[in-house]
Amino acid sequence: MDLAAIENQRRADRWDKGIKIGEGTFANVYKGTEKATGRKVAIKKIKVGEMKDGLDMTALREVKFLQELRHPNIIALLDVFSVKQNINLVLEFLDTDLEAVIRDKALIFQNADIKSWMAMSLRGLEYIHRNGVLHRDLKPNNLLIASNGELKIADFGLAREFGDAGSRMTCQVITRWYRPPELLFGARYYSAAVDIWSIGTIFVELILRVPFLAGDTDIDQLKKTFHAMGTPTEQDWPGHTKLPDYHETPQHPKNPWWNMISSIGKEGQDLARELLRFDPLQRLSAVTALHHEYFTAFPRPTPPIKLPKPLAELRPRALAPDETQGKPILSGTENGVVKRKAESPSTLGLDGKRIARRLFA
Amino acid sequence: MSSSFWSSSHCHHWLVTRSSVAAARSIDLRYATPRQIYCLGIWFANLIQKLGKKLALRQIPIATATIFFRRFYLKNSYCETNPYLVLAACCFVAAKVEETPVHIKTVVSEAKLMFQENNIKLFPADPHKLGEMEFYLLEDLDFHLVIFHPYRALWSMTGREPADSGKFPQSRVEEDQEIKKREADAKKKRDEEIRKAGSGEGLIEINEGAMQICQFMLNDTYRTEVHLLYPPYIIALAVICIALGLATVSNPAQSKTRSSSTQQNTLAQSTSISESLGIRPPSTEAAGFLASFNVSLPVLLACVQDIIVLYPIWETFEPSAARNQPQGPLAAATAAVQKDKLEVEGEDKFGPEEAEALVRRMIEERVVDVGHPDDAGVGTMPKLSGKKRGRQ
Repeated sequence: MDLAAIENQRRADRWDKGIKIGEGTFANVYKGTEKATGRKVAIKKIKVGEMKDGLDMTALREVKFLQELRHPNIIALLDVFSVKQNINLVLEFLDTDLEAVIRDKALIFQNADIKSWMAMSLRGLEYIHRNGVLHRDLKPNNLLIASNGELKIADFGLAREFGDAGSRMTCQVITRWYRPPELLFGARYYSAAVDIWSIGTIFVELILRVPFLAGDTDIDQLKKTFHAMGTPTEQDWPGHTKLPDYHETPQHPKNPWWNMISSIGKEGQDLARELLRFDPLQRLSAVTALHHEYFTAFPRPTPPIKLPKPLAELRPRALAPDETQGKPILSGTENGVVKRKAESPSTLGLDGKRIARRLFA
Repeated sequence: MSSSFWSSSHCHHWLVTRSSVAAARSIDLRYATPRQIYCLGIWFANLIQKLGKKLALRQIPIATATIFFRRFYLKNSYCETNPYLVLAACCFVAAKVEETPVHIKTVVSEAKLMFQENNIKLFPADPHKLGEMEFYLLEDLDFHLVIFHPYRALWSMTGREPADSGKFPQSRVEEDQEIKKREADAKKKRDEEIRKAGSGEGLIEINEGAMQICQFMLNDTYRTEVHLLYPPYIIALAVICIALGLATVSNPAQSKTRSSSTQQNTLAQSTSISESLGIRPPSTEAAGFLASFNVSLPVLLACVQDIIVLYPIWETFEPSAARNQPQGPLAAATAAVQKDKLEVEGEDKFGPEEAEALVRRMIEERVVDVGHPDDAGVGTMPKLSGKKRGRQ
């Protein structure tokens, strides 16, 4: 055998592949173990052989970025090897994801828990942005949780670098509910601020326990956004009317939407507002968000190990749906999500158990 | 750009020693001379460039493709693979990695056309084959796909950093005039700052001409092995070093390094003197600039050597009249060397046609040798690998 093949064989031998725990259009995920240590891993098998048009962009991006990014709050790629015509990514095994945690109504979130999750997400995101990468698909489903409670950002299938000025990018990224208004208006030149919006909506979702802005279509998404937060004026967001897909939307008055999340406290409300600014230039960056006083104010974030976790058996994680270049990636059709959509935020405030326990209201 | 160079796979896995580069060619060297092998490197890089142009790729994806190609041949031999298929696969993968994907069928049809134009018949025009090759390529690249090119280093060292590179502050909304203006203002201010910051360590102001030479020379470096041997910042520095040398030689008065007029006069004088003596010292400014980096000067000079050596060989392989790339002062600088070389080796002409023939011959001979039961001391040719590489 040649050198490369030996090397590959040596790598493949390090891991034991177990049962299938997830299936997607371009990849299957298996439970696995490291032979030497018995450590649990997840093996993502990308079916290259079956692809007529070469390796899928999503898979390529995932490999490309995970090979370079190393951070405690980012899913670790432990190894890559190939068997026949399949690429196998060995990833660290993570028990659950934030979506499952949010959906598990048996769990009660303390404000300190939310702060802990936010801090970990932002730390991971700060690292990603610092290295010149946009994630472009942040949602609770992609924030995985390890058995020790640590949160890790996963799924880099839509990520790309943004080091070069003025490169046009597709606006059909980020799952709709977490997509910022500039993308809904078709902006082709955007930056890290798109991920910040997603984090902002996730933050509100952690407090409300339902998706904050759950539009049924792209148009509806904008409508819901403006309904909740008020239609932006030229003053709020200079230049937005000149975006490619700008269209008139019904005028909604300014709405102090942050009262809805008063349970999180004054600093938390302020952070949410700063993360969810209409004007991408005014949105906080990941690093300034980490310096926000929310993170230094009382209460201290919960240590990861003590964070609430669903007791239920691990649900196979839905894999990223097939992405055809430039087409929207929407996974809002999964069963669980549809169920969640049925509850509207307004019915929730009444039930104390469903929302974060109010400490400050 | 993604991730920091210092923690990258590029830095940790793909900067190799000269001897391992040489070892990678050991089998090929049984069928060709070192000089011919070097020329093949130039030739394949040219083909990648041509294919890239046909696929409307920008310079960065083309550069990435070339490095993928070089890296692949750190683990493989030209004569045991189909280099044309490999280079098409490199372009295909690089286009995807740099976010300007091209459909596999387009790659196949454009590559077919390009290879026909260059009279190459070995390329299998089959998307399936290319798809398979893509997989083997990725495998041999260890799935390390992010490459750091010296262009960015060159821009930042010469204070021409594009507005938001390296720092990621703001989004740019094309249609938003206001932001554009703001950005333009910021850039102007930054440029001024750079100009004012007289002592700006690690920054050098060079004129447009020299900058252009740097850019061209960087494009040329992809025809050599320097990208496997040196980190990108060394390559950028080496290119600046050569460009400054050339600028001082060709027109000392015009080299606008940051110096007062009196300094420039003495500089001009000293260069004219040293020129008459046949020595070309870099200007004191340039020397100071180069010395201000915490890099090993012997390493830097070795890199300079590796780049300079390309030109005479390239010239004999493919006389510059046949190339359309403006060479300007470079051609002048190497002209003298070329003459000598041509006189020495004038007889054995080795150009693109010969390169094409050589590749065919190498592959054929290798097949014979591997098939031969008495092929002593070889036995390294893996049956599986031979088949899987999609050889003809």
